[in-house]
Amino acid sequence: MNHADEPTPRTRPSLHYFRPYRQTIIGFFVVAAMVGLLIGAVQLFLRAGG
Amino acid sequence: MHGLSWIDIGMMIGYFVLITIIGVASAKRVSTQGDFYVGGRRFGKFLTIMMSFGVGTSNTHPILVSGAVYKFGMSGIWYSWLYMLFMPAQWILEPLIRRLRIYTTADFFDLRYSKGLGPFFSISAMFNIGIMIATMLIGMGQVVEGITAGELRSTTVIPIAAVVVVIYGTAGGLLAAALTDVLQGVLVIALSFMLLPPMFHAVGGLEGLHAALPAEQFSLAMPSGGGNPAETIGVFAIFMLFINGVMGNLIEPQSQTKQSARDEWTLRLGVQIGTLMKRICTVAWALVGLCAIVIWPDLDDPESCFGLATGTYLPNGFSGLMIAAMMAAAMSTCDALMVCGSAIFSRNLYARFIRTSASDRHYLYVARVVGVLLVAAGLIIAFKLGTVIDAVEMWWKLTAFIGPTLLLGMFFRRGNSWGAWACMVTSATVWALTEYNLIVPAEKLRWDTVWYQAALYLPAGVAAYFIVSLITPPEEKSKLDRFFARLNTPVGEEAALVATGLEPRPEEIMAWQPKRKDA
Repeated sequence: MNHADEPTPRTRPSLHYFRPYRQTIIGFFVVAAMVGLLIGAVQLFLRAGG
Repeated sequence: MHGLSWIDIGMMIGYFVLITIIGVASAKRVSTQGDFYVGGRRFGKFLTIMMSFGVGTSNTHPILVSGAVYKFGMSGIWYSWLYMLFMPAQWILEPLIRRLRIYTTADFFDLRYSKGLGPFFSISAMFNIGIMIATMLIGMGQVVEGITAGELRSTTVIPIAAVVVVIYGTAGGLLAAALTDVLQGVLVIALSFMLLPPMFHAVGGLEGLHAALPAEQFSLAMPSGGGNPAETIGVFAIFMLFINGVMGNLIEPQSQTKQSARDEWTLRLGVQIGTLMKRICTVAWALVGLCAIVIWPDLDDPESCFGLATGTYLPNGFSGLMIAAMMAAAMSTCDALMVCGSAIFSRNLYARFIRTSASDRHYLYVARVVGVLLVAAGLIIAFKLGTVIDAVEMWWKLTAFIGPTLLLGMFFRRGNSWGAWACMVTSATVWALTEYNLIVPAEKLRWDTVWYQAALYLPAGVAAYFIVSLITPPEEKSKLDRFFARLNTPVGEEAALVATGLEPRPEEIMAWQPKRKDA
């Protein structure tokens, strides 16, 4: 294993926490949408027949 | 014959035999502590999904949710759903916990803090686990009693379940727990939905429900104000329960199970899908509660409605399946708790303070013995719970007091052990002042609710963390560098961590590289 190939890790809180960035950002919104969809779907289902 | 048919009894025995065989078979793949505690970190997506679903779902959840909906209307679903709001944040935070390359939640406190926080968390977690196991066993016993109309007593069912958990759990560790979670997941999903068709038929479908119940019973957000605040779940209550839940959820000992995922992507996907499956099942449990309001409008104990529904609406021959499913739901959580507790004792207490340099095989043996003792302790507590109920509530609250120290510790480098102690002591003090009505008059009922209490003790604790951390010396620099380097380094880039020279045992860090072979 060539250690020199790896970037040196930061030793403070940083945006590197969220690597890989694309996966983190897109996934965040997809999950949020799924949660919203479930809540909305259940509320719509409950209103049906009312 | 306890009013059960031979088919029912056969199903139950078959279930016990099957999971015991699974445990013994998985024991062949357990040769190190890593295999026992975190399944060798080889779990693929399917096992991670089922593990997440199984650990997060206990047999008390259907009872609690249906009971809350019976009492409050559909907004009672938030008793379980409040964690769902945490899912997007989970997407971001889960990989960070995985990146710390730790076995137990107690390892976090050893890695980030000093001043006795690690041992304190370890001991409190051990208590917590013993009590949680007891709670699971009691809930299971009550459900089985409810389904069999009291003919199959909890005093019979609880010891049997405990013995089976000990056999397969101590043999196969977390891998056995995950494999039995697969079985449990299938059973729980089946039981969640098999009640709905006959109950909907009984109430005349959704139209029948709307005709029988007021419109607010169908709202997911009950309007606050008016009436007893302790019985009103409004937006404020949901928000505070969510924050309180997040804090408690972060430091749950069973977070250890997430270290078993092969890599960050597997963990993310597995946790999200497993959690979502539970949230969908929650809808079914809530609808059982809603139908129960119409079918049995005068129940003294709302939480009895789920057992009543299963006893009334399941077709003959399914009782054994239902009992097996309810027992599976409890046992799958118990086994994971047992493995987590044994890991915490073996790694964070025994290997640190009692025998510091023993072989891996020795620590594995200790972990298995402690696993047996933990379930035995849970069993004893289960039969004596009436006398320790206050302790139960206290330990549950304690988790929310400790939670902020974990979250803040990951994002605030200047935070230190004194700040963490101040956070916990301040939160506990503020909670006690409100709990025993020392700040406000006793007639102000709202201060008896956890959401109003949390609105005081959480900000107070966080403020204490920052203030005390800033006026006391920081943690040792090399300790902090090592901690934050791990957080900044995704799983799979362990070589970069070793290259920093901050890791005292490079071979241990390299062992955290993702395994190719799936379990």
